[in-house]
Amino acid sequence: MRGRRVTGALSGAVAGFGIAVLLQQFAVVPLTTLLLVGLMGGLGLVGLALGWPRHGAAAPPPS
Amino acid sequence: MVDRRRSRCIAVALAGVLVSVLGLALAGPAGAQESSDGCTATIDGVDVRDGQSAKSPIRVDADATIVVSGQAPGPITGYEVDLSFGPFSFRGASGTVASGETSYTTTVDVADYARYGVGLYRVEGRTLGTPCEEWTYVEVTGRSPLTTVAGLVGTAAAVGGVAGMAAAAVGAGKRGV
Repeated sequence: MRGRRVTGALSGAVAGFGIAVLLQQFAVVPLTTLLLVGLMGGLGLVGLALGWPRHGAAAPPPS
Repeated sequence: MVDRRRSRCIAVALAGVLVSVLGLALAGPAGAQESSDGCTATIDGVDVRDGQSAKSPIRVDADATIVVSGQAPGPITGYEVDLSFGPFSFRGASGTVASGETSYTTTVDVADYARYGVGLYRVEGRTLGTPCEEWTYVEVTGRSPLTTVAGLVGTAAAVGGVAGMAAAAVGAGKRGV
């Protein structure tokens, strides 16, 4: 369960890094520390939310 | 229980979107700053103060060799020109000048750096002896960002990261996993 959240958060941070670099490479915005931290942290949180379990625990087997 | 989890999930996602948007909004440059009295600098003859906005940077070609010049109000002993890339800074040029000189002129071969990356950079020049600091935004053009080292790394990170997020989302959506 926790693994999904960690995977989501780390993947989000990596995606944020990539997007920040691409924005700089395509001359949309200059790459600043604030942009890096904002996108990596922000998308890390989005990834954490996406990895959050959306169902309750598995139902117990019928007795 | 499920509703509470969903609310928490949505709250975390919204916080993430907010942080990302804030990062993008605040990443814009500060307004042009007044330079020190008597300090001037140019890139290929263009005053660096004309390029202190990311919306109107000084544009240079990826294959060009640019001339960087600086002038101080008093004698200088040397100069340094740095390129900023996020939290990292690289030395583009540095050197010493003859005793009593108040200015410097140097050249930077953009092609040496363009294979690693193009796009927007903050370039800072400073003089030693009589201290002057000038900066500007430079946009390196004339080469596809996807053919540079930084462009390839950025693309791989973005695609891999989004794929990982999707995998986490799919796994989290499976009942009882």
